[in-house]
Amino acid sequence: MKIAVIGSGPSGWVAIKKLSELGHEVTMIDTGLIEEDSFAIEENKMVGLSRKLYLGSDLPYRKYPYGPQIKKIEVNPIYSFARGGLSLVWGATMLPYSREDTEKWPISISELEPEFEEISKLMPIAGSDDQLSSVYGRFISRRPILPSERILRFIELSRRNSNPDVTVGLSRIAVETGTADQNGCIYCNKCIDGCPKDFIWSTRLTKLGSKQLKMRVTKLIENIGSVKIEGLGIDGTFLTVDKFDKVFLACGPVESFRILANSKMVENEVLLRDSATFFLPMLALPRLGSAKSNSFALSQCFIRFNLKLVNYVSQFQIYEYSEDLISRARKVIPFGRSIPRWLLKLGLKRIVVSIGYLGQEQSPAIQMKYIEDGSVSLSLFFNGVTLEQRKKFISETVKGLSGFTSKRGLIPLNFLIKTAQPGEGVHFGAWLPMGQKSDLLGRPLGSNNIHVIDSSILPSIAPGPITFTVMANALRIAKKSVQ
Amino acid sequence: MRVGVTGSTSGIGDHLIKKVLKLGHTAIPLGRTQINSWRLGEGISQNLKLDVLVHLAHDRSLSVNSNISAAEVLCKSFGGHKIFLSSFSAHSKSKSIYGKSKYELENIFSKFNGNSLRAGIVYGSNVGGFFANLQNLVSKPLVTPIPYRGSPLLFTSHIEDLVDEIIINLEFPKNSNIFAAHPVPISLQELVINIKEAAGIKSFTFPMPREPLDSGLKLLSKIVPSVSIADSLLSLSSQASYEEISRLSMPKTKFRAFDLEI
Repeated sequence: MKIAVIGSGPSGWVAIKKLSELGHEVTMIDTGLIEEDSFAIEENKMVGLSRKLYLGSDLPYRKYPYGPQIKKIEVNPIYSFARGGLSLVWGATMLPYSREDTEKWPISISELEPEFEEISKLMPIAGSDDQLSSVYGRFISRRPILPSERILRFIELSRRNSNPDVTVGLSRIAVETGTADQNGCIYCNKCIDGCPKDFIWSTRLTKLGSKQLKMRVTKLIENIGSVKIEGLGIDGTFLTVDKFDKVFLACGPVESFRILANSKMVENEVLLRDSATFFLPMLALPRLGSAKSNSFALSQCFIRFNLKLVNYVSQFQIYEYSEDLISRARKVIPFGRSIPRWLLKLGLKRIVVSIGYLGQEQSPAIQMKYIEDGSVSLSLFFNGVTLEQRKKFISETVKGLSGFTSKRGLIPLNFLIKTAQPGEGVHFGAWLPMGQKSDLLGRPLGSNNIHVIDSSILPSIAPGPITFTVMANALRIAKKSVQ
Repeated sequence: MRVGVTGSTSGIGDHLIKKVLKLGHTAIPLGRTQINSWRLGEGISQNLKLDVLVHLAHDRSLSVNSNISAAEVLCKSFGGHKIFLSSFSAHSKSKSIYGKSKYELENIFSKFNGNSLRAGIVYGSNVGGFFANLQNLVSKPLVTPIPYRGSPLLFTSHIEDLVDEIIINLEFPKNSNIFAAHPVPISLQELVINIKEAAGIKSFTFPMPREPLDSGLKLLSKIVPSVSIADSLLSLSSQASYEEISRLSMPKTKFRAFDLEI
């Protein structure tokens, strides 16, 4: 079969990989910004901190000069036009959704287990078989990344006096930590500027199909038995490619909405569900130990917290102190530059940073509107959760969590909470949920050969990492659709 | 294969020899009390016709320099592949005599056609060493002192996994040093609590702060070098950086997580 996959992020990659393995002729289509392009650095900020870079450049966040524009009002969903997409700068967390998160889904998470297993063999997933395995399953292929002294002791204390509502474990991340014949992470602490040795997995490191085409897709036209793709080339010229048996859309929720709405396959107004993200510093008590021996800047520990009273789940990822934090803190704290470095270091050595995620029921949604000239406007959805309600949810969660962590040496500093704009957490999607607006193979209703395989088709957005589930679902669709 | 084992009277040597014999090789124990008399500082006789040598022997009462010269004599007398059992307290910033000498010996062995296995704290049936010392310390009544507030991170290796890894290295010699422990470290406090629970001991713990303990232990290990506990506690005071650990190659054996009930 002749197949086109639009997008080169994780979900696109996994589909390309599987389909080429099955012997199909696969063409990868993406806008194709690559590192040879200019190296301009723009300050990109999330919750006041500058964002992770790709080898020192802001390539993944750059706008694409040609084609329709996307307007953002009060919201800031992150999407990327770079080859490899956001996998160039991701936090690399690889945790599937839990059974509890996906109770109302038309396909159960246990159906996806073979796919999770298969993906964990395709890429390195560093982790340890701990408490998290009982909730999320055991999909690990490398030894864990070594955490700092105090994070390890926090995990030990949580295991010793466990609480049924809280699950704590070492982080599971797509980082090469070494095997019997291969070297791994050298703990150089440059994760935030992009791994110099490429140990953090990204699709750029892998082979992306035999054929590659650079264009920004604007429209899909489905005829009986074949699909035609229209788009704009790298210099803004109009391009068409024809006679694809199947097309897989893996270019992220915002772009896939724009393409499908332009092709008149979906409504002009849809709801993009988001997972609210907030930044919560915690004070680590001296009895836990020090930040010593740590030199790794991705997440070190996961906490899943179920607030019993109101029964909703949140997820936290804990990041350790690193030297890099000092220069960042100087930018954020008022008069930060006038504080001596050693004084700042003294205070910050006691701080660990956590990033929390709420589920879609507790997070404001984003309204995506297609405008006839081809552009898309994104704004806050007013009938859903408001920003004030979100604040209430967050403080409720943090209050509940502090009851658990304070006894084990981490005290949340509620007054320092900073909340990201809707979409800034990058965990969003579910505007075309399977079983409601699309079928179980990700086809928008009425379509036969166009499959959406990115996070758009998840039935709901659960708190926490999204990539693993999206990849597993993409793999499932890729396998089943060509049978 | 003819496998020579020094330090064969220890727990690890005993386990290793049994396993080597089980696999159909010939094990030749070398030691003061053995038929093939050998002591630290002597070379290996050519008449033994060894294929591989596993060096487990270590004398804590020797200084770093005499350890080095003993190892050089050993390495020069035997040209075949050698395996040296090192320890996680052996690293470039080690403060204890034990750690320093093991680290120097690692370098010597890699120079003379050999490699080292960095084992964590070896536990299991019939083991001496640090684990036995710790068990001894914990079983003292009433108050158990936990050095350095229990914060040092320790890697652990079950004795059977370690022996398996040594055997793999006998059969497929490698030049690089090997990380021979469970990948997730455990804090000293957790280790002590585990030992206490397994032995059914109920006693208070007293977290000892770093500074006075460090200088006291240094003094003690200088005055009475035969008190091995002082030196082994001192080796907890500094840890290998993760950067250094990441340069070791991974083991082929899957090391089990620390659990005393196994």
